[in-house]
Amino acid sequence: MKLEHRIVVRAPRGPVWDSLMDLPEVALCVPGVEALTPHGDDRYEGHLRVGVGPIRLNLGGELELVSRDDEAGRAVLRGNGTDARLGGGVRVLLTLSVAELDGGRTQLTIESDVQVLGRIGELGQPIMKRKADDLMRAFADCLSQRLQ
Amino acid sequence: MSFDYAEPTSVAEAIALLDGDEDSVALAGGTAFSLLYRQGLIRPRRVVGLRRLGDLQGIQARDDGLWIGALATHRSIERSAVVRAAHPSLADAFATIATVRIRNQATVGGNLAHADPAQDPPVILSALAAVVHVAGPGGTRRTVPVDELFVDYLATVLEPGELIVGILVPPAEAGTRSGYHKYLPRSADDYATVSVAVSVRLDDVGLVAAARIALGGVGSTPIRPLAAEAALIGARPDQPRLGEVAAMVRDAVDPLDDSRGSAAYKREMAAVWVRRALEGVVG
Repeated sequence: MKLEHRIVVRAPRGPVWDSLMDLPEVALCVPGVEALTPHGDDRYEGHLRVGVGPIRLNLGGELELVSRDDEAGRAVLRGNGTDARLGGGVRVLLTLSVAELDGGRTQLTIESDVQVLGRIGELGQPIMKRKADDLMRAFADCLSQRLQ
Repeated sequence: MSFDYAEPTSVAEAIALLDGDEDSVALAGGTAFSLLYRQGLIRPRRVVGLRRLGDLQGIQARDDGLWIGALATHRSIERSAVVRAAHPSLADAFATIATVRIRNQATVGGNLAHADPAQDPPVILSALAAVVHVAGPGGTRRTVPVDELFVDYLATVLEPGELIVGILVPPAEAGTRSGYHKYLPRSADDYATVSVAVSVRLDDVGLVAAARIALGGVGSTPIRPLAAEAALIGARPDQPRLGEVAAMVRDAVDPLDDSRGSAAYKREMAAVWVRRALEGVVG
């Protein structure tokens, strides 16, 4: 499942990029992330809790910074998480890029290529997409607030 | 995987067993539970079976409206002479749910707690201004209008440990007409692509005195297009006005692309079916 989210952050490109590349900090802007802790070079461990009504996923896993180009404002991250209780997991390849907009604002584009494995897939793609939209909206609001 | 199972005989005992724990599940008819459980999407620690709770059974005509116990099955609502006398559109709507086998098993309380935005009961009950009665820990009771019950896909305002005990549908004012329509392009027992319930009262000179519209299948929750309702009040429900109201519905819904149609198609069908539903009650 490929998703693309474009969000406008009310802050200039430089601070937005710096803030994005502080992964343990910026991860706290994703609802349901409790902590992202460094675990070797450009690798992090963490948990993401996502609920859809009575269905509660608790994905534990790893996030890796695969590449980073400060000048172009582009980074690629690979994540994978599993839910031990329900059985199943999620693999995701994220491409983040930032572009300057007028009025001291920045456009952040997040392209995600998501693979859902096992039982979690029973939720169905439309619901997962809607949930991803909700997470991104909350993430954008949080990031804008932090940078103001 | 296994869970504890208990069958309490009083509401207080059921709530104590649920214990405000997210991993405890109340089981009514079990139609939604068994799907989620067999798909492996829920793993409760405790299941509290409600079937021995006599207080949650039954359908009665009361002074303040039609009382439907939470454990009333869809089939019992469909076939109840009391329901048909008070709100014929409610009996008609329940007769269209899924198949008779499911209607014999599923309950109205369980259906509302499950909060699936594509199912029928929330939509018709919302148009009829029904109110959910909820019991909570420590003997607390509260009421929630059906159209304020849902907050997201499969999510309600109910807290863990709260239980729906029944639904009160207020009496329809004289002259009110209501109806339920669902658009089923695939098969008769499928989830609707779009479902619409309307309830409209005209005054003595043919102007709209009251109107409620509710839609299912076109958002994360059932939706009431409030601006479209407001555009009807005080107006003569002629073709131009119904066209304007239908156009406003397009902007009020927020559908998902899925196997029952693209978001754009569902938006269009929401407008078409609201118009048809309104024509059915004002003609």
